[in-house]
Amino acid sequence: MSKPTDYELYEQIRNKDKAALETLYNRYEKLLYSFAYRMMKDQQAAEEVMQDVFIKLWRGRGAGQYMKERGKFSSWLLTITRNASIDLIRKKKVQEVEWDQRDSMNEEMPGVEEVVTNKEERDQLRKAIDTLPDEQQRMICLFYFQGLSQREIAERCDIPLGTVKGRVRLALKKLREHLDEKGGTTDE
Amino acid sequence: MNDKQCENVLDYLNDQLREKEQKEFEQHLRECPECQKEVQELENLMGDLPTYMKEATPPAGMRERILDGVFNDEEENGYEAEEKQTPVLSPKKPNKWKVWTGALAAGLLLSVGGNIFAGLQLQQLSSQNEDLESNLSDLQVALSELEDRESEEGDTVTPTKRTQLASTGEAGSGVATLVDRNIGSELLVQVEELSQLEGEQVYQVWLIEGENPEPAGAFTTDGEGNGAVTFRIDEENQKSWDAIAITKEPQPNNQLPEGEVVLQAEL
Repeated sequence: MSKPTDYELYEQIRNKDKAALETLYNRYEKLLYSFAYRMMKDQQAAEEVMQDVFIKLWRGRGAGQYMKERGKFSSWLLTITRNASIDLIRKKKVQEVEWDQRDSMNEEMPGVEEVVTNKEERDQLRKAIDTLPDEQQRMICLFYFQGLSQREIAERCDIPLGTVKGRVRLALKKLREHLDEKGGTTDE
Repeated sequence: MNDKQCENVLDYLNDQLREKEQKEFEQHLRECPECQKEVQELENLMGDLPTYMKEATPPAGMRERILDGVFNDEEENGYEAEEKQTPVLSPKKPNKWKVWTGALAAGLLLSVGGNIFAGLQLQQLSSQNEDLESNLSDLQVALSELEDRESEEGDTVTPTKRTQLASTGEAGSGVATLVDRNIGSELLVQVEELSQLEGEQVYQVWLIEGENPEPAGAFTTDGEGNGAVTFRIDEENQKSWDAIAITKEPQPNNQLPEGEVVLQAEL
């Protein structure tokens, strides 16, 4: 039996095929949950995000509707997971703690034991972010992880509104370069 | 005007635009190659970042809860099409509770617990008995499917503890039953004659170990103050519970009680 592609599963899901949704769930649980957990920093909130994502997918309307123009299915799924996270962050009005490099980037420092046994699995993203200048780290934190609006970022960083987009873009670009440099292949 | 739209790229990507703004921007996006390029570039830059993140281990039982939530949502949608917030599970007469002691009903009720836990579905008894009956029968069909699945797993139930919930002053009474399952256990709570809720209020069940309350399901009541909820306690979350309490919370999903206790009992 050949494995159905994501898109084949998606089409079956559109026809309310429960088994297809379960298969897709199994395929993406770990990736999406890890992402949601990183965004929410809370198990229960991450699970809420997962619930939201899969309900949207099952309903297949609005944000839950995938079109091939949106690019790779997995990227689209990650986008709706990120949006669901941002949405929940906003709903929960999570305390917007003043940004601090140690707090916001290293909050998930693994315990010593974990470092020893899991060296290979250490967070490549965090390592790459850590190499960026503070200002770029901050842009990624506020835009990508906290999902703030352009105006909020401008206010928070006390920079002109018109410069936010350029700075976010630059930060993401630099991050990408670092990830590529490290030969950061994924284990997909 | 267009220049202004081009300023919305970031807020579009962060899902920060209002519905109308989003539609306008999407319209603009179709006509503006520059914005198309920018959106695509940023999406590409962000696209696979999560694959570089450290893996987190999903909590036990999440898969079941999520899939249950999703598949129950299907039924929920069906109801919503007929009428917003139609009652999901509300006996027409108070004495119907007694029926729930039957083995089949217990199975149904346990399955409903999945619903309620996943979505905190509201139960409100309205006067439309017809709607109610048709909904109930739809629900039973869906639930018997779930039940079938459970029986396939060879899951059986044994009540281990049963206690009367005493009122703390306000009206109301109820029964809490703990049921052992193959995997973990299940708490069933049935109440009657509780006072009416307002707005977003819910009745929240708490299991208490020492001085630490843990949320154990929530429910709303029908017009006569009846309500019920089941709550699954995973094996790893088994504790020696000392007491159970029901509070009236100003909103669902509180992790710690804010409202007053209305019913309580020692376990």
